[in-house]
Amino acid sequence: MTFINYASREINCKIVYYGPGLCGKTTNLQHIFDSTAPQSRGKLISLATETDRTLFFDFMPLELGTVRGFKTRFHLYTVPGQVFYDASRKLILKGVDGVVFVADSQEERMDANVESLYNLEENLQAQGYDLMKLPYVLQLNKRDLPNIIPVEELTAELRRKEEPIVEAVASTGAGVFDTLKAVAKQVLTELRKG
Amino acid sequence: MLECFAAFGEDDPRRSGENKTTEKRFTFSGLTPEAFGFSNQSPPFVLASLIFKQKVVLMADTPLLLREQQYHQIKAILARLRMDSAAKVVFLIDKDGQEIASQGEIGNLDTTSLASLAAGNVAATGGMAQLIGEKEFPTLSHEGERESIHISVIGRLLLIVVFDERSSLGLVKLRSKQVSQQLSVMVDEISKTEFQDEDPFGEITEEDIDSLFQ
Repeated sequence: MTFINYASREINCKIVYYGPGLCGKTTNLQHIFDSTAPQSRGKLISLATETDRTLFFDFMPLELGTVRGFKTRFHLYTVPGQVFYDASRKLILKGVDGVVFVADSQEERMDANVESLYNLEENLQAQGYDLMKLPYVLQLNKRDLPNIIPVEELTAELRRKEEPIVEAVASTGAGVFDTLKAVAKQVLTELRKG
Repeated sequence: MLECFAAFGEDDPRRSGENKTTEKRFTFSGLTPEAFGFSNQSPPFVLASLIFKQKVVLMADTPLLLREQQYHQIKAILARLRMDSAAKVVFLIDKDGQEIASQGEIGNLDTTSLASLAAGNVAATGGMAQLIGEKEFPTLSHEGERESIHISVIGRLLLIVVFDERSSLGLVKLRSKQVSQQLSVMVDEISKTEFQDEDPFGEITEEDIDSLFQ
């Protein structure tokens, strides 16, 4: 749910990174956190297990800059990717303004991608949203690994509409900011549409 | 202080399905007094001080518009609660984790993270409540060695009280309950405020958006 605060002249938007377990959602956030100046971002809160698997969500507020005198602030969230945390995933989608689906490009994770994408559509529906109408980006992550599926094949299988597709290697930061930019732009364009 | 919040709520056209009620969303043609629905007798700084505009599903499923006076009333209620309960900080946030108003010794407290985690906390316990056949748990308390937190659910809003050994859970619970009723009545009144369809960002250009990513 976009909040516009005229006192501090701020726009607050919520972006959720979704995808199967170990696809790199937290790594995306970690890279953004590591690469931005401390004055542009808040703390990276990770509610994770002792083995660093996301238990509930990661959260990080990020200030992108000023548009028409308004500071644009994005609240970035990730969901827990593991199948059995579905109840938590559903809760985190509440009030979402834009979604990034992080797909794992490895062959053996294709089924997990498809299942997770289906789960996203289902959980959005449960919250009253329609993926077809939401700002949305498909990120194809782990493009540096040897056993990956070609982009065309992943696109054919996972693309739902005319969403931007970004190839990424979140562990090195490649494509991470392009993804963020693509989704943030759509969210702001939605605001403009009024 | 000039403040205005606005939010897309249940009527956001991006939403669909059963929860969707109407295609209406706010539009806003500029910071003119008339656009905010203020009369031209008001001083200019007040004219631009529409302070809060949010869709809240407390009573009727209609948008909520909070004006400066109401915002200050809420701040006053929070200040009173803070004093009566001998609390350190009192917050009012919405269930999505956005801060609406606060009172107290904020200092270096990371209020953004606190609001987000409190909302996550309430969402998680609300989920548990539904699993055991409850609608929700109306209050949550977390007691630490020195600092403690008490959260009350008031419809779509959350009242958060942070307190230490100068107070007690019993006192905070009692005072929060009294204030919850007050806030609930107030939000009910606020929800009756007429909603004006206005668009604050109709004039944003592609270039404006691109400039963020230079």
